[in-house]
Amino acid sequence: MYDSDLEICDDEEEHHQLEHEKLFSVATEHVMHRANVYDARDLLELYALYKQATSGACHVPRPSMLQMKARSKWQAWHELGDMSSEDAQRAYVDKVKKLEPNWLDNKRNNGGGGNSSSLTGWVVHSIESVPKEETNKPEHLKTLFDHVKENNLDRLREELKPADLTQLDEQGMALLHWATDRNAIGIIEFLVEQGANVDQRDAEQQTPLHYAASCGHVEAVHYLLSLNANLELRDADGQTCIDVADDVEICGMLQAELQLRNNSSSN
Amino acid sequence: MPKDNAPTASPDENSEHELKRKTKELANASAQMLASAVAGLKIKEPGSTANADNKANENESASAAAVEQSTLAKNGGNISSDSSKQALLQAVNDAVNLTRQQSKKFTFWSTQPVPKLNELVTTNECIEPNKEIGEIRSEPYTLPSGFLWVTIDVNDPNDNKELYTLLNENYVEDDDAMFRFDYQPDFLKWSLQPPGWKRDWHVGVRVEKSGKLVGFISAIPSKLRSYDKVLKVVDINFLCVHKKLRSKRVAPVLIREITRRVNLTGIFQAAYTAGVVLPTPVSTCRYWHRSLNPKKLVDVRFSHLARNMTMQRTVKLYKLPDQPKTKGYRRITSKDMDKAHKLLEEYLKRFSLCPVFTKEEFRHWFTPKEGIVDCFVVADEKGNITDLTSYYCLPSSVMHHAVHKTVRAAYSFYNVSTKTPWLDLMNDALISARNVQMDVYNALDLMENKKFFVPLKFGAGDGNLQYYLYNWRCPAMQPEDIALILM
Repeated sequence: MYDSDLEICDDEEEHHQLEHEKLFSVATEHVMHRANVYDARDLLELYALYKQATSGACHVPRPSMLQMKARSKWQAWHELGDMSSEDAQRAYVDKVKKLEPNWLDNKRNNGGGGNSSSLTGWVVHSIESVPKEETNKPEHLKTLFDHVKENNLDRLREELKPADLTQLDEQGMALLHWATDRNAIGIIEFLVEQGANVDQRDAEQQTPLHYAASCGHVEAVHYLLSLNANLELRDADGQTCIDVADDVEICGMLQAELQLRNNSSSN
Repeated sequence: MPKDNAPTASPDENSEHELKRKTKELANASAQMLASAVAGLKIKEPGSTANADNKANENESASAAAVEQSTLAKNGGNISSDSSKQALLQAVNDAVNLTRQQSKKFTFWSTQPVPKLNELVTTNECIEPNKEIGEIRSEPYTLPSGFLWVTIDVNDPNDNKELYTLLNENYVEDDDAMFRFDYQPDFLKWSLQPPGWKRDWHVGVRVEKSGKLVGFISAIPSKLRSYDKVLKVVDINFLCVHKKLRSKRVAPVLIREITRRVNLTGIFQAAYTAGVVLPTPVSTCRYWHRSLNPKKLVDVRFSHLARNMTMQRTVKLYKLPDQPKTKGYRRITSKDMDKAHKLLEEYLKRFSLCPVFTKEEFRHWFTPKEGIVDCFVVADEKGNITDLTSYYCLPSSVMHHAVHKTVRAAYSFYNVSTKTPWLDLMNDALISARNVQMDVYNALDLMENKKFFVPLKFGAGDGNLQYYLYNWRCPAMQPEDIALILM
C-alpha cells in the first residue's frame, strides 16, 4: 500500500523528452508560423518528414489522380519509406536549420523559455509577449534596415551599397541612426568604415549621438565620441545631445568630453 | 483519495463501479475526439499545407491526423468504402490512444478531490465531506528510500538559505529559462509566516546521507470566500522538487503529505495556482507587464522592440513623472491599518473569490517592508482613507547576461479605488515602484485591473496563471471575478 505512493504518474512527463524530441517540437511550432515564408517544395518536404515522425511509414491509400495536392503530399511521405521516427525528427530539424541557419537563436531571442515553461510547469514566469509582426516578415522581403534592426551584420555586409548610407527610411532615419538606436556597436563600426557620416542628420536633424544619448546607450556614446562625433549639433527643437540625454551618467560623460575638447582647442 | 481511506463498500461492488466509471469516461472522451475530428473536417481546408498538421499539442495533432486520414478518403471520389472504413478506424484508434494518454496523465489528480476537466459544475460545495480525525492517516506518507521528511525553520538562517537555494535553482522547471524567480530570504519569512502559520506546514524533503534539501511544499492558513460561502482554507505554495528528482514522482507525495498534515488540523479545502492546466481551473488569468526601465528590459529580452519602434521613442513612451500626483497619496502607516482594512473588506465583497482577512492578517500583508511589500493609501482632508494600492517585490535572476544579473519586479497585490480614478491611482503606484528602482510592474488581469492596462501602457505577457481550489467544486469564474493573489 505504501509503495503505491511512489508509482503515481504525475504531469511531469514532458520533462523527460529527449533532446531531439524537444527540438522537433520547437521546430514544428516554428514552421507553423513560417508557412508563408517557405516555398511550396520545402513545405512539402517538411510535411512528409512530419508525417513520418508522428505517424510512421506511409500506409494510407494513394489519393486519386484528380487530387493533385493530396497526391503530391502522399508521394512525398511515401518516398520516405521506412525511415524511423527519430531520424525523421532529426531530418525535420536539419531541414529547418538549412532554411534558416539561426532559427533557434531567434527562438531564444524571442523569449523561448517563457511559453514552454508556462505551459508545462507549476510555476509561471511570464515575460512580455513578442510583437506579432516580428516573426512574420519573409526573409526575401527584408531590407537593409531590417538587417540593421536585427543586428545581422553578415546580410548587411553582403548587400550594402555606398548610396544606402545616406538614404533615410519612412521614419526619416538613416541606417546609422537605427544601428545607434539598437546600440549595435558592430554595425555602427561597419557603417562608419564604409563611409557613413558619423554626424548624419535624421529628418528631425538629430545625429546618432542624439540617439545614443537619449536611449542611454553608454557603449554607443563612447564609441561615437571616440570617432569624434560632434557634441554641439542641435536638432529641430534646438536641443543638443546633452539636452536629450536620458540619465546622469550619460550627461556626465558628454559634458566631460565637451570640456576636454574645449580645453584642448583653446590650448 | 488515498487508498487506505476507501469507503466500506465490498471490493466487488467497488471494482465494478470503477470499471463502469472508466468505461463511461473512455466513451465520453472518444465521443469528444470524434466530434472534434468531425468539426475539424468542416473547417479545415482539405490538403492544406504542413502547418495544419504541425500542432505541438497532442490533442490537436491527433485530431489533425484523423482529419488527414478522413480527407484522403473523402477526396478521392472513387476510393473504396474499405479505405473510408479504415480512416474511421484510424480516427477511433487515435481517439482511444489519446484518451489513454490523458487518463494516464492525470493518474494522480484523478485520485484527488478535484472536479474533472469538462465537468459541468452548478453547485458551490465541497467534493468530499470533512473527515473525523480518526479517519486521517496518522503517519507520514512514504518517501523513496534514501529520503526523509523534515520541517524547515525559515527563521533559521541555514534552513532559510537552503530553501532559498532550492527555489532559486529548481522552482522554474525549464532549464533553458532566461529568468528564474529569486525569492529573497526575508520574502520567504514574510510570505510563509502570516498569523496562524505552522512550522509543521513548511515541509521539506532531505537526502538521508548528505542532508541536502531536495523538495519543499508549504501551506499557510487563510479564509476565503467562494461565491456566498466563507471557507477555512490553506494556501499551498512553493511546491518544488530538485531537478535530479523529477523522475522519482516526489511531487504527488509532497501534495499528499501536506494534505494529510492540513487535514489533521480540521481544514479540508485549499487554494493554489499553477502555470500548468490540471483538473480543474476555477479561472485562468494572464500576466500583464508595464515597463518602468524599458532599455534594461529589452537588453535582457524581457520585452521586445517591435521592428519599427525605436528605443528612443520607447524610452519616452514609458517615462513617468518624478513624483506621484494624487493629493493625499502616501505610504500607509500603522495608524491607517484598521481603516484600510475596512476599505478593502468592503471592496472585496463584489468579487466571487477573495480572501477574508482578519485585522492581524491585514496588518501582516500590508505593512510596508523594504524590498518585500509596499502599500500606499489616499487620505482625504477628514482623514478618511478612500483608495489603496499595494505591490510585492519579487526579483528574477537573469540567466546568461553579461551586464544585468537581476530584473527587479513589482507585482500588483490588492488595489481599491473609490474616489481616485483607477488611472490616477495606478499611475501613482507605477511612479512609487519606479522610484524604488523597480524595472517592471506586473499585474494579473483579475479584479478591475483590465480597466487600466491599455491606457497605462501595460503589454500582455506570455504566461497564464491557473487558479485552483482543492476539495471544492464551484462554477468557473472570469478573471474579473477573482480577487485573490497568491505569491
